[in-house]
Amino acid sequence: MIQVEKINKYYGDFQVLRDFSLVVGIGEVIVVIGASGSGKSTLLRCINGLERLRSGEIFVDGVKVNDPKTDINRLRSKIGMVFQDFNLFPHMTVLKNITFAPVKVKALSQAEAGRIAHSLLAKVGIPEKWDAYPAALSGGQKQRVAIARALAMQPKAMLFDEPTSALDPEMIKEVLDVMINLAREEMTMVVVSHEMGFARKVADRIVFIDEGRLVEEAPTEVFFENPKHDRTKRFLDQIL
Amino acid sequence: MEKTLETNHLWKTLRFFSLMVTDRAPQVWEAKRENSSLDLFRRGLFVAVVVGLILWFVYAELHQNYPFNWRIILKYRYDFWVGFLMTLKISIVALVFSLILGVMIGIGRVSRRIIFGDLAFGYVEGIRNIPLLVIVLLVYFGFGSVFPMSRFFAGVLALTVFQAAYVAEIIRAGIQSVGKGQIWAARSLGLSSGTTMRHIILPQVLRRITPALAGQFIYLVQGSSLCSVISLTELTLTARRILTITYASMESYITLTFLYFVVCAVLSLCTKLIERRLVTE
Amino acid sequence: MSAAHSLVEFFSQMVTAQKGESWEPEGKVSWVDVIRRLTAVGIITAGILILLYVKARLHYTFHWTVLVSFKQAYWMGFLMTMKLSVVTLFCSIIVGGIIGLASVSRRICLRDLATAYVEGIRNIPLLVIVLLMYFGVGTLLHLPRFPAAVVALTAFESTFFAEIIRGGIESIKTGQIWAGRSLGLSSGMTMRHIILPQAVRRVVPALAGQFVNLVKDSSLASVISLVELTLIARQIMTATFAAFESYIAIAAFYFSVCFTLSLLTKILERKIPVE
Repeated sequence: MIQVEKINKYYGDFQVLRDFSLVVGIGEVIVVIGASGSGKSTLLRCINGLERLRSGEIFVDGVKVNDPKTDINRLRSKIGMVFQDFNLFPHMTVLKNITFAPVKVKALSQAEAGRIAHSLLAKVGIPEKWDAYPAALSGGQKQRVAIARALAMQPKAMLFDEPTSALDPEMIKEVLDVMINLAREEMTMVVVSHEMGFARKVADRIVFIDEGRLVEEAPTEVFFENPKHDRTKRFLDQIL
Repeated sequence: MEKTLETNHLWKTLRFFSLMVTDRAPQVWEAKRENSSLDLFRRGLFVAVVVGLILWFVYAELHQNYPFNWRIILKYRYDFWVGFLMTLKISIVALVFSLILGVMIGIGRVSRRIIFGDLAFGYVEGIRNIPLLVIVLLVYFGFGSVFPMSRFFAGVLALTVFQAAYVAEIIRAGIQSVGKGQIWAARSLGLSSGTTMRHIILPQVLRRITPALAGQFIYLVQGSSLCSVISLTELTLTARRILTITYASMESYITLTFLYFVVCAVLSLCTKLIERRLVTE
Repeated sequence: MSAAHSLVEFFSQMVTAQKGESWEPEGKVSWVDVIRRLTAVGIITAGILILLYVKARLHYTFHWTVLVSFKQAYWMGFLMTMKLSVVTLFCSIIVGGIIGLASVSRRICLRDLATAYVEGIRNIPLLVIVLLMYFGVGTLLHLPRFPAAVVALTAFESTFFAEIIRGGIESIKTGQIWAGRSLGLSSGMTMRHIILPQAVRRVVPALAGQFVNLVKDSSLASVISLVELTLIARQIMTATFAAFESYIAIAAFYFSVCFTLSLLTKILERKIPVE
């Protein structure tokens, strides 16, 4: 589904990703962990083309992401992204936030998009908030709307950039529950997160990035029980 | 042989310009990159050429109906110089006095005594809601008929009174931008409010507001042009006088525009250099 | 006696009143406080003005009736000032909007040209632009006064509007663009539906503030003999030699208009929720 091949990304002179490679199969859930500044968020933004690569290639569903000839908008409508600071559109209601892209990009009728939106809102647990503005919602509610907004495009893969890091502890669970349900529905997910409990529950593989390099990659149980590298062990000691 | 060389050059220039026109930053949010000096040169060249073409076109159009006579301007270059000196004189004197007055009002604005704050606020709001031209006319013709004064004095007084309001606001904003934390730290060490202001706040404020104050000088230079309406012989009036004598209106005004542009552009550049120096410190 | 006494006490209390930590911006003040402080300022200002007036009367006879007899003229001048300001506002926002959009474009050459426009015009005094437009270019193209003034003012003011709009667009968090693009929206759609609505909402107070500046700058149209407020004052002065009264009147006029607009701007600012 997603193939990242030896990508190198620079911010000016500073190298943020070094020779990074990763393969994500259909229906797989990958959790990416690492220290702050290690390049995790940048990796996600490279996958849907929000960031440009110095070298290397990325393929999503067989389409080359960093090819200038690719129709990037069509590709992006197949990948959903959820951000750490939600990035809901403050001047639109929840319903409009969710239906806007399907109507404009996929040319759905307002009624049909509305139906999809309401069912998604029910799925994430806040069907009654459809006519509220983002400013009136709590953090957890905002993030669930953001997830619904991304799902409304019916993507083939979902990218999560530290979805719960900006939330107060009591709201983290409601968002993680939504993500767990998604995983159980066999959605291909790449999640950057510090929530180890979540990782242990649904991740197929864990990937550890340090200073832009892929240090270790293993199936979940193996990763936590038997980390191979020293750096991995030190990092796990710090966060567990 | 000659022909192919020429077409080669033409091609190269065409390619250069098509490259310049189609040059795009990758993504909008990546648009702010530090550019190499070669890049800046290319971009500067492109802008210069486009602007040059536009101006040349306008000039050619005008030239059809109007015989430009540039030698006349050369003849009067001494007068332009004198006018320019007067402009500078007005601006510098007004700058000095408006700084003094402005600092006093600015500090008054943040004073603990409510009455000072209100009076200062009244002054700032009062002056800022009146156009500079009206103030100049009011001072010279209005107050001037009650308390007679020279043109120079009236011009400088008007400019001072006007700019002081803006300087006061800059100072107030500067003081408030230093932040409560600094004041808390100083006061909790036992320093009095006067000492805090003098040694902690003001030094930091001065560093922050220097670019803004440099900008004020540019405003003053532009504002000095308004003194021409009270017949003070600065640059603008000089140009108007010359054109009444010679009827060379376009040449006069173009020269005038050019002179102001050069002066203000140089001052802006200096301001930016000062800003950069202060930021990297 | 006790009435005078309490008046003096009130006044001295106002003069010596202090607040806590001075360098912080003020919090909300109650209505009573506002009235009391206004009275104090009013008394002091009135005192200064009365002193000046008394001294001035020794040299100069004031003819305040002049203002009344020229009521009509003042009104016409005021209307023209407002007409000029509104027309210029309309044109400058359009031109400024285009330049502002150009200055955030991905095309580097557009950005540079926009910068060149803004910097080029801002380094020339408005008076010189007005003169150049009317006496210079205007005589060749036979531009009448009003259009010449509008063109000159538009050129100058549009630079400010361009900067305001650019600032508004750049103030929107990058995350908003990311969210829009990652949903598959094109660059143009993201700008039109996501960025611009938010940017415009944010800069409305700044735009209103610039309108106040515009009204003030319109006074420069008087140098090309456009019959607006400032010119009326000059004409009255030459007719009656009542220079002081004439100019004080228009100063008061401008003050009222601009101050009212500023107040409306502040109310507008409060009505728009800050996000």
